Amino acid sequence: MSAQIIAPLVGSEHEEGLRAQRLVLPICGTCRSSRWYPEARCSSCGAAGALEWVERQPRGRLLTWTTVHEVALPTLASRTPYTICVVALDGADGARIMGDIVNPAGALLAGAAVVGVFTARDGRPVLDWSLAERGTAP
Amino acid sequence: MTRDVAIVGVGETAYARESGVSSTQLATEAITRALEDAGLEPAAIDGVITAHGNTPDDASGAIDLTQVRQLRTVHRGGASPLTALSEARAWLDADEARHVLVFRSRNGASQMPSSSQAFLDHVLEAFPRPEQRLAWEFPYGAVAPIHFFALLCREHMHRYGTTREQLGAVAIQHRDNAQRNPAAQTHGRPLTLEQYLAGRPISEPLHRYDCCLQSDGAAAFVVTTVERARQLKAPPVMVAGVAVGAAERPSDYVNRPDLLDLGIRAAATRAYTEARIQPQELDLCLIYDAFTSLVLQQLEELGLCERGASGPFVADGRTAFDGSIPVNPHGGLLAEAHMLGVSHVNEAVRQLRGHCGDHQVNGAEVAAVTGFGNLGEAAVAVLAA
Repeated sequence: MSAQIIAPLVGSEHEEGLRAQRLVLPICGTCRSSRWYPEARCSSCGAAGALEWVERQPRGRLLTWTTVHEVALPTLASRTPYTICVVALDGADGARIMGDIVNPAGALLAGAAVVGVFTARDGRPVLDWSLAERGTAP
Repeated sequence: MTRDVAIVGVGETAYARESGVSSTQLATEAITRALEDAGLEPAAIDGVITAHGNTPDDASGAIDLTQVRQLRTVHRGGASPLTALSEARAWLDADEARHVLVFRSRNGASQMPSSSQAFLDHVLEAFPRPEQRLAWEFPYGAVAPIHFFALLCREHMHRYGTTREQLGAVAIQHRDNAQRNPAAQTHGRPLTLEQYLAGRPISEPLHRYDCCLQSDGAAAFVVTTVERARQLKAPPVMVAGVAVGAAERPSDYVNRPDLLDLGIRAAATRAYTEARIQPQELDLCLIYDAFTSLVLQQLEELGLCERGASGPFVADGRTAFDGSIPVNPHGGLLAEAHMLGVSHVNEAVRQLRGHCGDHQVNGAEVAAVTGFGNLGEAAVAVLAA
């Protein structure tokens, strides 16, 4: 496992992208399929070569979610209830991403269209998700 | 063909939420009982395997560590005890050890980390690839195993129509089983569907009674070759098959192609092949039941029901004590105690010996035992009388 292949935490292209309100994810430099999370070896072509980073649209479909009411971590307890989701990104070669849903009121439905909300929490940039307004979804 | 091995001794402490004694002292007690059960002297143990959270030295009160030729600490969470069984077999096959001890001791309930930093350190040390957890999951509040299992449970619900009542059937059957097992932490406290449904939400769709117990205690078992086992006092229980498995992308469940793949199917296929059995030939199952939904998913991966059919399968009573394939007759992690699955192995051994008293399953001759840990690591054993 090489340091150049696994993204460093601080200053990574992904985090820098979020800070600039852009969703930047890695692809395989060899076969150009999604390699997110950044794996040391591409699950599509097997190459262990370098990653490339591409911008993706912060749009997708709600895959699954959980609303957290109790959590043992004291710093998170003050945020409850909060809703964690997994979003299948549109046009991103199957890449999925975790985030929080900012407006989970009402019944959430699998497959619902969601749009990214760039924000910050505890001093770091994060990408949360909002149910897309009817009529504005692509 | 690897040498045939058998489990020849099992032992535990009493289980409680608050033991008041050290984890090392608990280990000493459970290991001593396992050695007594096997009829082995402490100096006979020359291989020791434990799970992350313990070190082999925690066994030093019960065995002579100077006699030990092989040591291991397995870091696969709930898959560790069966991974240890697989490793023990390899040592015995290679004559690297003669009698291998596997144990787990913990003050799981009374020594939960209390500060945020201690909690984070605990989680980061327990999970694989802490850098991924820190960068892409922790900022969204996904910090505990329940968050991962809740996301999978919701997926199972909307993909297959699984209901809270069906999850409740898992919880209630485990509690019912614990009422026949005086060693269980919930003995004397049965659960009704009304109580289950009124359980407070923790990480929806998982509620209070979908979650395993927190326990203080210890459990241990001893493995040796079949030839040596026949010289010992307890009826040996054969390891007919044991195998590890992993889900695709084992440390990245978010991008796992099939979100519901636990790796249990891969391990079970290998273990069944070794044991030359079909899942329909099993008499009972000991399933790693950290959460009710995890039982449903594994019933499918074990091949006991069709994919997506586990909810009705359980609700129809098929997995109940008197059902066609009883699951966790001791009450499991949900209702007996959480010993990381060592107690699942021990229960299987006693069932196959026919020594379970009020919770003995009739005709128990072949059992499957499962373990699941971290975010995608599995192990399955087939044990036979």
